[in-house]
Amino acid sequence: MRSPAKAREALVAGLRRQVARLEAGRPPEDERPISTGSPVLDRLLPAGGLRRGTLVEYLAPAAGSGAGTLALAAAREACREGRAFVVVDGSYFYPPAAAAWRIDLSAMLVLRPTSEADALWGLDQALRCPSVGAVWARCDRLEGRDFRRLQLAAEYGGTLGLLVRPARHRGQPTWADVQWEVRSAKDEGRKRQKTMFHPSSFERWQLHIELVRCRGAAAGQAVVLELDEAAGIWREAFDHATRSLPLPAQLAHSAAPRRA
Amino acid sequence: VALAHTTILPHDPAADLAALARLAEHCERFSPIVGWETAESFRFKVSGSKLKNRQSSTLNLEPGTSNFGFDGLFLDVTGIGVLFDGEENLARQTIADAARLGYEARAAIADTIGAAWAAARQNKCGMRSAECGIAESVRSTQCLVLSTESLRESQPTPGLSLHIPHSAFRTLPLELLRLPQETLDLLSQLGIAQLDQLLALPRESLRARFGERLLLRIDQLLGTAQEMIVPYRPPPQFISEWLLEYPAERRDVIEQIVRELIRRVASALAERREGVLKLACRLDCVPGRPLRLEVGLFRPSADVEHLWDLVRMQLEQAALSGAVGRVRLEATLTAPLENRQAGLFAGGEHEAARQLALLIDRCSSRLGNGAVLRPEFTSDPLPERAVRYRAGVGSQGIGGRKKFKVQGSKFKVRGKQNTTLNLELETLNSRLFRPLFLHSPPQPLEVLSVAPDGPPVSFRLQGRPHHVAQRWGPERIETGWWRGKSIRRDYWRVETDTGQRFWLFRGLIDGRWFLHGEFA
Repeated sequence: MRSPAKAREALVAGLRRQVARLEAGRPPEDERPISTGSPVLDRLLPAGGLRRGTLVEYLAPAAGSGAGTLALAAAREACREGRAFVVVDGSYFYPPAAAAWRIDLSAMLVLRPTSEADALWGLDQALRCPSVGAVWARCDRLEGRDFRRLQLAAEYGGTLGLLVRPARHRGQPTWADVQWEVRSAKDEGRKRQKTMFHPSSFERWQLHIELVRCRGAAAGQAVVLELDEAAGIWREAFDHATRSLPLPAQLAHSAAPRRA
Repeated sequence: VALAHTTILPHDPAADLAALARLAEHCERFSPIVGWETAESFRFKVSGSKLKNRQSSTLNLEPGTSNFGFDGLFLDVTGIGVLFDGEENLARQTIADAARLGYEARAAIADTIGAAWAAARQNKCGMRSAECGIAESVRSTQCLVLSTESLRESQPTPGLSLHIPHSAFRTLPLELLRLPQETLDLLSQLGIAQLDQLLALPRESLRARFGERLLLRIDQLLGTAQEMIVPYRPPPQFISEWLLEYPAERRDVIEQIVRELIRRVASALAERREGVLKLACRLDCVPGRPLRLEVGLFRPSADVEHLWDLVRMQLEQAALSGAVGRVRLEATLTAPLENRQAGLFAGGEHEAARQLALLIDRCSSRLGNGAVLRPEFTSDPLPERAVRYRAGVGSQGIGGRKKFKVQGSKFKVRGKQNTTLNLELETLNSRLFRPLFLHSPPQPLEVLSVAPDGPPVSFRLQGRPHHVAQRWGPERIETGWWRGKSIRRDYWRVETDTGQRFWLFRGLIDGRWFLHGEFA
């Protein structure tokens, strides 16, 4: 026989779990997180990665900054087990770049909506489809209600929505679970008036990534990642000249966390 | 003078065929197997093409068919003569029946299709009727009904002298052998006019000179090769129509009608275990132009809800120019439904594939078929041609899963995967080998470079100057001279002092710079 006190304890624990699930801050225990494509970024997230059924924003301050490519790494992780990869984009997306990230072209679907309303609709439909692993989309303007709808769609379909957006949306209300800002490490170094190392080859691409917003994690953490060609992941950058971690990573610990 | 009162109309083969189809339908009272084609000619003509929509397939006549083409019917009357008081009576009744419909028919009953075909035409070709048993009674006719009895040698019917002796064929003109005109011309040039002349020649030399078909026809006439009638059946049509006595303008009324029509078409299809691949809907507006909607599907479906969903998405966006007086719905392309055993638990691979098909259908319906694309590699080195897009609807399944079969050559699955370029990408071993965004067409760019063919130093993009901090290249990409206008480019991957990465190229022919991509 269980004592009434124990039964109450079990009940409370059960309720607590239920509340935790409702809060959506924590993943259900049985679900494994999706890697962001970089173990360093995974460590910054409380769940140890991204969760299915959520939206992730990649903010890009300028063209050619690497945000879309970083999102592809997460897409590849989410599209394992034969799930489809859907791209919603006007006409810029170039599939060979995705193929280079080992995303199967035969499991890729490209939607090319002609209007903003159609793009939203297509994005919503793709997120709602349970056989889709990840949806990669470039979207600029996103109103609160539409944003919420996309988030619900992702939740419904259990898909991962990767939204690549201009950095001016930083600080605006968002329904994304995680928000990154991706800029070139060189640009970040220039801003802080420190000379940064120069990559010796084109393949050693270095990105400065800041966790702008994530529930349950300290915002404002930043890392510098370098592309590891052979493994196909982004590693923590290492300055070979000074044999130390680059500047932004050191700053991240001392800097006051930004407001989410 | 006589021509003054003559109306000249172009020959309409489709109308001919439709008339023949009506006659065939009528003749089904005499025999269960009625057709105007035999399996052999059928195979020649429609191999690899769809069997279902026969009406259209028979219109593409192969060359040489026309001179013995579809101007007659074949009836299999094996063992049927008894029911009509003898085969001769059967032939008479057939002719009388055709006469009631306004046709003058000629009939022949023989052991083989070839013999019956020849006998029914012997008058036209000047063969004496006495030599060809049955045909005597039906000499004065114009159109012809051919009957045959192919299995007779196994079960000879007693008391009937309809059997045409082989000797009758000795003087058979070769025109009655169902041969293409070229072969006939060749034979007449060689002075061969009758069958016995042909039979006297060594068989192997005939094959070498005139091809397989001549031997086949001889064998079919003499009964040493088998021939079968392809039974005619009216092609099923999945059309449903609704006429409104008082044209309706209200959307909900129209939607209800369309929905009902979809239900009718879908249930007719479901009975045959078929599904819609293409659905055409026409709404006739009383003043104004009819509204046409077309829906394509990724995999065949007979699900009313799903079809209605697809049609509704288009209907919602369309503007009606007036009140709707008539709604017509047709399944223009159908395919067999996939038979699938329902699992005890939902889910699994089938469910995933089905969900994806639904997504593709929905997106294609709303965004248009050209907006839902599946990329595949080509072997072209030119970046903008390295990827080809195929429409999502009406093609191969996604992710290498089990494909559905469609009986249409249009939907031939091209399973060949282009692996060479995949390999190439891997050997280049760079994830940054190609940019994520590609500008098409490439944007012209003002670029400053030191040497005339040197690397870029700075450039202006959207009015803002960019200084190139680092660059990698050049990578030369050229098209082959056989591809038309030659394209030669030197590509540079550059990183600006702000860390942005671009893909530029200089055309080697005119020396102009372009921005082609961003490593976004």
